[in-house]
Amino acid sequence: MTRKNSKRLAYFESWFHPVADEILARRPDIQPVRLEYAGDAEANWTAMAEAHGYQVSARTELRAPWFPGRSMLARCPNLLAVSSTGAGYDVVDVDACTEMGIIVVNQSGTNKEAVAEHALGMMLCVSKQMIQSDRALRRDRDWDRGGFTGREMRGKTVGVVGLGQIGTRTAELCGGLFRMRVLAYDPYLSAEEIRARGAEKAELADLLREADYVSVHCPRTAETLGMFGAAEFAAMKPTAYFVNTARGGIHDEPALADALKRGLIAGAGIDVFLDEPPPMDHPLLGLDNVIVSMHIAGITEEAREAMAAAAAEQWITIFDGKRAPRIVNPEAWPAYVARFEKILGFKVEDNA
Amino acid sequence: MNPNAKRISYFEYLPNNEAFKEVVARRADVDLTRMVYAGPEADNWKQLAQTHVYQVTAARDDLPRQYFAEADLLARCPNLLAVSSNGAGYDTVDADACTAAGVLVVNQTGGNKEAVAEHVLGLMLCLCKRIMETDRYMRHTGGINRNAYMGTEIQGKTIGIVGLGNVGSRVAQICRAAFDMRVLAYDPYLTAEQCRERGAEKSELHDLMRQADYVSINCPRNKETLNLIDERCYGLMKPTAFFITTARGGIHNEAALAKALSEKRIAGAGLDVWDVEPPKPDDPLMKFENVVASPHTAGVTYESRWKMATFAAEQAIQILDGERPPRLINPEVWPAYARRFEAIMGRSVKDA
Repeated sequence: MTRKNSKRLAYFESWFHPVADEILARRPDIQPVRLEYAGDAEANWTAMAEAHGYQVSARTELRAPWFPGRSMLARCPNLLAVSSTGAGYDVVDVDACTEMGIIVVNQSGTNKEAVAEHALGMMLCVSKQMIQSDRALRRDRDWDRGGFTGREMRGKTVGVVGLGQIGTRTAELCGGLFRMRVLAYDPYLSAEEIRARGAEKAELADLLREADYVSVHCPRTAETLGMFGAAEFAAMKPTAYFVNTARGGIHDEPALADALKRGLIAGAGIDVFLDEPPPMDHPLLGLDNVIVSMHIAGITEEAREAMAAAAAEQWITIFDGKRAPRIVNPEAWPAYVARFEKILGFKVEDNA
Repeated sequence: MNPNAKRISYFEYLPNNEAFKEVVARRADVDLTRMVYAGPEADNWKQLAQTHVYQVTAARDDLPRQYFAEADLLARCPNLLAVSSNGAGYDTVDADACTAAGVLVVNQTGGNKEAVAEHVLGLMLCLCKRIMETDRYMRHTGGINRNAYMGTEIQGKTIGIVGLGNVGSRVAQICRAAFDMRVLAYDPYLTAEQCRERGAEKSELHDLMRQADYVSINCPRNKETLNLIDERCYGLMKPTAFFITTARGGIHNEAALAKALSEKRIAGAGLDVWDVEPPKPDDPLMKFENVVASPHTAGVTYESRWKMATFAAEQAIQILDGERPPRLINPEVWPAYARRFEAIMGRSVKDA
């Protein structure tokens, strides 16, 4: 352990759960530096310039100019690591961090149960027309219950796009609970790895053609932005449902609204939007065969505590000079090791 | 009309016309007749007087009172061998009166267990993740703060199932196998050992209400279960617990439930069944944001309709052939029924 308050960890507003403060409070050498978006910009920049770590907010809460991109990072010469709130790290310019010798870490796995349960809830909700019937019951008597006839999930086919922690749990729920056939599109995994995670490897085109439910669980990256557009929705079955609890922008919003309006697909469950929260005149908000929620899939009480605890523990590992367990850009490691020693004055245990 | 035909009659609709007719079409000696509620009563009574199997809806609020299978109707139907319900419930049938008249009562229990169990899980997930609330807020108010809608997870929680039959057992299996939930069951007709075989711990009703994070009602409506879930029961529930019913209206006391919700004694409710169906938009339970409402559609899926229609048609033909039906509600009627079958059909039953 090194001297008091020698390792400065900057964050804006709050952790997702007070457990992070409790964990970090046990370490006198780590100084959490709380900043406010509405605070004095000059003071914030001074704090960021001194910070060794930056715990970055989720996109929904994060404000410009505090997105860790090239221009911001250039003003943070002491920064060694950037840590995301949850599994996603699309607010971070990873390439810029790598070039600058900054490691990017995430909290992958901590909210997998929350998100998988949300995706499953949305699938059940749209296929049983629960949202449509709830709206109709509260509104009027101008409906017939036969019009709310649903479809069962058991024995159907689900296509999981992105078979990481959350996708794997979704596959387990669908395959185990409902004896569903589970197809997975994940170009980073082999057929064997996909089988080990309870799914069959599929190309995207085949998955779209065969799935009764398409559930998106991949990160938002240059590769996945706009992955679902007019052609993809047109390739789906007219009885199929599209669920996205991953990130806005992976599906094209006007194309999805159009596919739903034209009956090219049966319904959708959407937790993520390009702009959050979406404006009330957003095209998806006017459609009856859509259930929306506001990027809450991963923020249950349990998940927030797990995310905050995992982030705080990972910061302690980093500041102790050990290799963090969830590094997104391992290629930054050599440069990081050199910078760490120069900036904090002791060596990283380089067991990479 | 063939005077020697074996006759099945029904009003308005079958669980699925195509599936039912497909089974009946294999038999030249079976005559299937549709009646309409608005048709001349004399014609309906003439048809019913000749009918051997009366296929009847279980929906109390759909069927005109005079066509309920009760003493008055039975007295006018000398050829009636069996009353067959479209579903698992048989609320439109007076089973005691049928027994007294030597008439079999059969249902299609099991045909919709998957549909109802999936609906229960959908309600649980929609409630704990507050999905419907956010959908409503985003469409009607806008500018949502997602942190105000933090949910909880179902994994590892406790569910209390009231009635561990076909549906209850499937709910138990889903909750235990996929979500590691503790499953309590209140079912006075099952021993502790039988509950264990169905994946649950036997519990008394009040203990179940006290311990459960989710209470799911899955028992039939009868004299014993009417008003079973009363003010005392809601008072025992945790303030974080959810109440779910997909069984029948009248088992839970609606006024007491509304009181519990308005006093925030429980966290929310998922309601598929109502005292009077369909419920009106100004129903007091409809004013709560933490209620998810559906109009008795839990069992209504394309798949379950098909299964129930096939079950029902096959069972009706078994009865007409003198066989003992697999889903007999009033087995004590058998000796009297056997004598009537012989008198009406001119031969003895196969299983006397």
